[in-house]
Amino acid sequence: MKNRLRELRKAHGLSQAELAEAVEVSRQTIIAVEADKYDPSLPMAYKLAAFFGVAVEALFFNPFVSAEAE
Amino acid sequence: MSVETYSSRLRSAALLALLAGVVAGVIGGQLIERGKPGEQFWLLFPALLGLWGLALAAGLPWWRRLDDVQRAGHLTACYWGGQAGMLAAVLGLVAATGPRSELSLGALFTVVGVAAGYLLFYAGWRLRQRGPEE
Repeated sequence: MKNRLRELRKAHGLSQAELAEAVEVSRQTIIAVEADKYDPSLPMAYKLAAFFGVAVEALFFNPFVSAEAE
Repeated sequence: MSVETYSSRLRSAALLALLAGVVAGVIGGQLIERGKPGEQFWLLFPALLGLWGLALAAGLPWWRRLDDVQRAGHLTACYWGGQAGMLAAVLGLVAATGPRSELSLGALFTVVGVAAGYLLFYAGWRLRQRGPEE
């Protein structure tokens, strides 16, 4: 699932390891999500969104909604 | 004073699981060494089962601390890697010693145990996912 995790993380001046520790997941998990290699569960998506203070939709792009509809 | 981080807690839990396995292996080995396998089946089997049950339970904190991505990795590796490894070992034994050798039969018995455990846990998982049907 395409996302803005890398962008938001860098905007907050965090390394992948620091973000991982902050949200209590492994660094590999952050790497996998950023690289669009793994779709996180809903709780993890909410956790990440809450950490950055944004809505889930602002962090993860809904692949089932067309760009025009958005 | 050291700060406990997620990764350090995960490492501690993994270490506990690993240590529990080693301790269970050593104690179990001693039990088998000092007991009389076959003759004392109903003494040794529950004792070993309890011992390894405790060792498995010691892995629970580690399992619970894994995030869903890591857990998915372990589940995938366990299902596909575990099955592939088990089948390769069983088929190798059957090809090398014949299907009715003691080794092959022992390996096949293990496959039955794995399949039974799988079905039992899958049934439990299905039951836990149940909700109201409308």
